[in-house]
Amino acid sequence: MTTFRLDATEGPGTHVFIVGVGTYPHLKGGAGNPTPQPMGMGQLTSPPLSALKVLEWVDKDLNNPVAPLKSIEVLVSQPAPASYTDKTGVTAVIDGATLARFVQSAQAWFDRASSDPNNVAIFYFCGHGLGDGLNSQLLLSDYGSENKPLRHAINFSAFRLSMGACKATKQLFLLDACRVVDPTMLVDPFNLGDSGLAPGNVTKLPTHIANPVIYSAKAGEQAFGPPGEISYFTEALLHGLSRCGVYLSKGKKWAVSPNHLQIAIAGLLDDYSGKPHCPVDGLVGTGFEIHFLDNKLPEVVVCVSLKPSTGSAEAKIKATCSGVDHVRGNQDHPWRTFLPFGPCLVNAEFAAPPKYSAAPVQLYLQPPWQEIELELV
Amino acid sequence: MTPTIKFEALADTAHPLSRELLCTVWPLDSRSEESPGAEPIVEGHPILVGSANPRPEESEVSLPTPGNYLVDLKFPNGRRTRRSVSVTADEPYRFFVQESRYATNGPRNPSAAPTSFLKDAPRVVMSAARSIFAHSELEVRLSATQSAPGFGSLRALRGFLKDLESESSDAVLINRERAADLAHTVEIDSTPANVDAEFQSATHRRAWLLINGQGRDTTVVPFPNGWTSGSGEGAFLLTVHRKATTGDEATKWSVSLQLRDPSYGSLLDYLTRRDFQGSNAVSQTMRTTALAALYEKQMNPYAAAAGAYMLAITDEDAHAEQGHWIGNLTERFSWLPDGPIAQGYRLLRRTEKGTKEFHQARLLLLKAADRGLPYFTIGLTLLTEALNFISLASPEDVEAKRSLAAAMSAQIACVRNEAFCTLQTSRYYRLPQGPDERM
Repeated sequence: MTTFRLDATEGPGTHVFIVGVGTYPHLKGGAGNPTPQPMGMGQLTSPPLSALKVLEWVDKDLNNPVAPLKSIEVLVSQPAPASYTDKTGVTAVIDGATLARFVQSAQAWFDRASSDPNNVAIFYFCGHGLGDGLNSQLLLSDYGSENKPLRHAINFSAFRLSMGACKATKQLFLLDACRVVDPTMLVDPFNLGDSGLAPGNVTKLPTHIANPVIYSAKAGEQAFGPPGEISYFTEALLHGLSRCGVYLSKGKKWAVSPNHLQIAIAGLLDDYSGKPHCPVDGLVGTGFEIHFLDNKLPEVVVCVSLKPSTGSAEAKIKATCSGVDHVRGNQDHPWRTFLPFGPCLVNAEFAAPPKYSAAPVQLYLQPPWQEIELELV
Repeated sequence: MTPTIKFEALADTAHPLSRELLCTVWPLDSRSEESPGAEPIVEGHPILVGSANPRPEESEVSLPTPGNYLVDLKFPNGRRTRRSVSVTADEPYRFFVQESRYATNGPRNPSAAPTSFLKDAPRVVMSAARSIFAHSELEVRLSATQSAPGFGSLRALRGFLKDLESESSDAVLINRERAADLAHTVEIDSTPANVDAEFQSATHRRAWLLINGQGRDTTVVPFPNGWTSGSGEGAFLLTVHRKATTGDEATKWSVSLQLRDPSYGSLLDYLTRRDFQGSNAVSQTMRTTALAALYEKQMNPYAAAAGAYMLAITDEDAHAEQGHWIGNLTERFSWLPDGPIAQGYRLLRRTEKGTKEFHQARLLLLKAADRGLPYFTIGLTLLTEALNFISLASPEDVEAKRSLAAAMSAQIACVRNEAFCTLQTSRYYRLPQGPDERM
């Protein structure tokens, strides 16, 4: 159990639980006895880096005057134990994400989060995951150490339902893991993973709290991360938190809410296939504040496309915001970039003799996300 | 003239669908760097697009003054679009939305637009098929099954599906052809002769669509038989598409049954994605309210079930009359799984372990699983979620766990983003047998 920034003072606070699992001794390439059912899974490099990046952001940047940061619980499994020095100068070696550690950390996080109904409880997981229809199983580092496939996996549905007994009325779950269906889970409905929390917690459906889940992958699909770098979802998540997943809270301050964070991540992960991205569950109401952008104006994820797209190769696409030009530096089409919030003029220019001309678009950019289409004639 | 934004569909599909999108509008002109934003002047307002003759209040948004506005449109399929527009007092601003972007699962590329069966075939061939041909590349049949208690139960679904497939040659043939294209669409409306629409009859038989290519890879959809449009137009569009016309992919048709009714079609699309804000907004429009009254008069149990799901997932305490009405849906339509799912889930949301209501909800959900595959995907989702909760709250409840395993299997074999349960049998048969089947 590794805890940073513990603040035991009374009053609402934000309590974060971060889990990143890259080392799986019982999966392909691991140092332990291999499980008979590895299901094609092996070692990962992206989740520990992603989790540590989220830890760093929470420690250094999370700013919520309504519920200031009061604890970070963290577990990271990577080949050599991870260590971290927090903003206050405390250095600690971070425990690995085994089931035993998870149960211990989850209970500590639950208890702290339950200390005040106005607390914000945030859970982040990055690692291997499996789907079983609606639900996800989050695989911990010691997954496969026993001959029961889901013995060292967290049944996420059970975990979230158990959090219904926690008094914190604002809960957010961020899952960066595959949700590929594993039919073997259906063989035994009496063994569907561990809730990670006391089983007695599940007595009623948590309808009295806000507890949205933002997923990196659609049900039955995979999540991705480049080897040796942070995952695509986590990168989009951090952009959303620090730059664009905001709304004007009470007309005064730019604040990140789960609702706007999801739109920002979906805009950043859109592959233009026509399919919606970044699925969510339990997103109701207008959301709640997670983080405030103090002394900083937000940015907007902008996606500029040309119609027809055949004009893209020769076009110099340019956005002018407060007198500053932002020019497409590659041939990406649509062109996705961040632009400052506020008035903006978007145009496409063509070298002489011009094959096309574009009607410029004058607009006011509003976070989190905006599509712009330039008509070519 | 009042400054107005008028929303219109840009036709890029062969069989357009009308849907209700949710519109939010922010004013832009009053802003400056010092005054960084404003509250929306319209928020989550339902807008009807794709309808041939929409009323102005259904497809337009009136604005207080001419000027620049930011418009955000949220689609029932989860996508959204956001644009800045300049609105004058002279004429309405025409905001176009491509049909292929908001329709749930229609073919997206206009160049691959589906050819309608209707050009060459009647809407429903009323005679039973006695095939003398080899298996065709694409067959659509409608079959009916008895509704005796336990028949078609989720816990015995494998056998039920096998029987349904083996007896499908006696089913009503809706279409058969040597399909050469990647996509087709067929309208389905009338009630075939071999199934009855007498909903409250004890002998009422459930109808099932069976779609396959060359007799393989059958997709089964519980068909809400008797839900008519009343306009002469087919109440449903069945769209099928595949990735290739040759090889293994040629027989793998993706199936999408869509309700033409824009209000209930949208409501179901939002519900399927568990977008309860969207569902709530659509369910409160005048059009939906009027339709609800009409369906009530027609005794349309499917529309009632869609409404019941809406009540089941909201926190608002329904009037006693509505609670009574959901109960009637369970009792009167003894073949309809969706009634007890909505009633059980609604009860479960309002109670906790150990109460009389918890026990009652459990019995309703077990009853629902016993009635078989629900009509709507949201029903299967809520059933699985509720049984999962009961299994966790009462780890000793073997019956709930067995039904949960059966519901999970069905859910894995169904296409998640379809409004109607769309079960791929080849996927289902590949799943390991559940505990009931292994006994």
